[in-house]
Amino acid sequence: MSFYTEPVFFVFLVPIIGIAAILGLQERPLRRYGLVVSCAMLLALYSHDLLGLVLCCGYLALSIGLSRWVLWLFEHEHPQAVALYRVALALQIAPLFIYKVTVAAGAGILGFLGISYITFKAVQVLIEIRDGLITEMPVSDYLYFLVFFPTFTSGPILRSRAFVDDTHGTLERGEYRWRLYRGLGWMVVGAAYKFVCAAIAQWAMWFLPSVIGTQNAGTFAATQVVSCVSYGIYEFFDFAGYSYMAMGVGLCLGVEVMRNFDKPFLALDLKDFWLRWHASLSTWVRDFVFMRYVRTAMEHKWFKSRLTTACTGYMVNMVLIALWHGVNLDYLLYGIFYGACMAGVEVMQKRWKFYKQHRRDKWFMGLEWAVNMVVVFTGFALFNGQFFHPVLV
Amino acid sequence: MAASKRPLDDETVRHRLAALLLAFVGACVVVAASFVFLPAQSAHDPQVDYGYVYSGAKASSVEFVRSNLSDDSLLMLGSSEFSTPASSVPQIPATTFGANNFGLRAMCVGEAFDQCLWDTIALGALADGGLPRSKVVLTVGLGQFTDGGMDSSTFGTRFSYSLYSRFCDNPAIPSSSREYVRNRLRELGVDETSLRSVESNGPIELVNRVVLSGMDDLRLRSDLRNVRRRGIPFAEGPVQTPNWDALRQEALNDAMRMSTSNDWGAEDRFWSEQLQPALEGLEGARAGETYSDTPEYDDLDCFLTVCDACGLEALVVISPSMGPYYDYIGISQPTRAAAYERIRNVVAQHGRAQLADFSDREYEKYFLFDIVHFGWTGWIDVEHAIYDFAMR
Repeated sequence: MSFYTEPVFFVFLVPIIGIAAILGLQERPLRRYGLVVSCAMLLALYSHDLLGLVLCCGYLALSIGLSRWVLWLFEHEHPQAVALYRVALALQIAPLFIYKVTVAAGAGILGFLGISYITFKAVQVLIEIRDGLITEMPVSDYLYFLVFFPTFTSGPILRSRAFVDDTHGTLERGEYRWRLYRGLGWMVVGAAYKFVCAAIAQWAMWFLPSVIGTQNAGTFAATQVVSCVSYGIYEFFDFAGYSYMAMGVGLCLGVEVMRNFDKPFLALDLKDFWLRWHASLSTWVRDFVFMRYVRTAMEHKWFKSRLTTACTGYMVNMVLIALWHGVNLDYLLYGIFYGACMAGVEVMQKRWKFYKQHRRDKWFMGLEWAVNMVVVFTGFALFNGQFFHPVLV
Repeated sequence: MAASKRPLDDETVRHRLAALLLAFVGACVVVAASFVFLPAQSAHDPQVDYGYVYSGAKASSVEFVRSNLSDDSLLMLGSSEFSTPASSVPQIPATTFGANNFGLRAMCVGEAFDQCLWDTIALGALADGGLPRSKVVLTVGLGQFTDGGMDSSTFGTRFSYSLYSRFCDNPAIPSSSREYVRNRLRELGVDETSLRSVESNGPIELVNRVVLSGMDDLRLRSDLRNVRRRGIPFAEGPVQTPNWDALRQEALNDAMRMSTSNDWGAEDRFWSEQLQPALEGLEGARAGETYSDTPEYDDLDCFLTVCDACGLEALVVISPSMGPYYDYIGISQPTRAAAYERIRNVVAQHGRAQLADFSDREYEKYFLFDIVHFGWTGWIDVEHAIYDFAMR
């Protein structure tokens, strides 16, 4: 079974949300129910993939084991705690790394449905234990956090401390009713995005280039533009639709799930765009990669200026995000392009006096938005490989 | 646990929640009512002949097609050739077989972009329970054998869940053909949910199948309302024997009247509005075409295997391409001849299959009215071959 695409998933959601609503409105705790339902949905998810189920269970066991170990290391102030924490971190990331590298080679070893998002969640917990932000993590809390089914296969990426805070105790009736109302609303919006708007954009993605053709340089260029614009719009409605539905189901189970997409095509610059597009990923990378990279670079004085450090940080961020999508040239170019553009935005905002003088002017904002959209959609064109694989056009 | 900021008071939230619940119940009622009020797929007027209606909904509805078959029907599978209007070519089957009682009613099934894989699925679905005369006609042309085969986007617009599930339900289909079709559908990007739901009997697949079938049923019921308006009355009077010579002469007269502006024998309007304006820049444009790098030949083989398995005699009509045009765009005569030969070889491997090979008519004026579709004399000659096949 696939989440958010197969009819059976939505059929299952009716009793799942119905029972959650009854429990929630009676001010009964939803944590145990949510955990049982999530485990059952995961069994359904892997109903045709026994190897995937085994690998997923193995990864859950590994994650729980590593989290207990790292907690113990810091709790007992082990002299080698930091070094051993790094070993744990490497072990935690290893399955996803091996999978991504072997997928590029055509094998896909150790992969299972949801490996990316479960890795983001598990890595985050280890890092926060290292930072002293997590000092205790009961196994049932951690398991529920990892298997929480609304966000299991494609995010949004949950934050463990907020999740545990949300799932402990009982929601007051008015609060649960408010979450249920928002949850159902987001599900309707998400379904409309995914099944109506994304379907129209997908049709346009196929139909418009076939009408325009590639007979001469003009139509070829027009086809390239139409392809990347319709592809970007399709990606937005498809992914945002899914994310809104995940957010909605999460709220019905009493859990606040981060809003992953917030009008990204209104962004004035690329930094702003990445706070609005797949925000749970970009903020995760910001918090657990960028900030740490910048701090380390500053501590070791890798670069003379903060600006250079930040610019290289954006490059590291975007290349990492790109390679997470897949280890190939298209994605690498996409990451380098977005990384360079984000660095460019950073330089513009910090150093360009003209920008500082006019950034509030409407004409400048309009121009900035237009340039940003060109950059964004060029990135989509690199991402879908249309420059190098004309068959996609 | 932190409480969310609530811009609405409790009362408003309660009311809106009730409204959402009512909307959900209302949507369920609307869906249920649609099943009650939309006519079943098989509903039709018995006085009306729907065999010549060109429609994707008709082609995807096993119930509608089968309920409109009679003892003198003949299933004809094809694609865009069924879309030719009588105003362009008065000799189309709707006129020859539909307006005259020759003891043969054609049931034309297929739409533009339907190729041998789609035809295989449609045949497997429609033949469950047998077909009148135990015969079927399939039209093929070089256009469907182009290098690279059919692209998944195009096929995606024509894939029919209903047809595929009925294909899988037909016990006569050999497992090798099922597997071949399943693999081809996967190659063409048909989603796993649809494929699994008809191949497996687990509870998850069962729920998926119920929902997907129900959705397809509703869509077809809705679309078939338009099909029912486009049928023609059955030809009345005693059964006649067609005078093919007279029909051909009439076709020739029509052709000479409707194709006066060009030496290739194309319809004047098609020539002036589409072909002539496009010719510039097309000279030699498709010189790389080989008609060899495509799974279409295997799809044709699978179609004929399904015919054999269902006990059907097949007539494969090979439609020619317009010779002068294809010479102009750079696809040489030997290349085309090799492709025709390969089609003939596939058909020859199936003992019961017969050929109506018109590939030698590429340079015959008026056989086609555009670059690939049968024209005035073309349709008459094809219908003559079909009539002989059906009545034999």
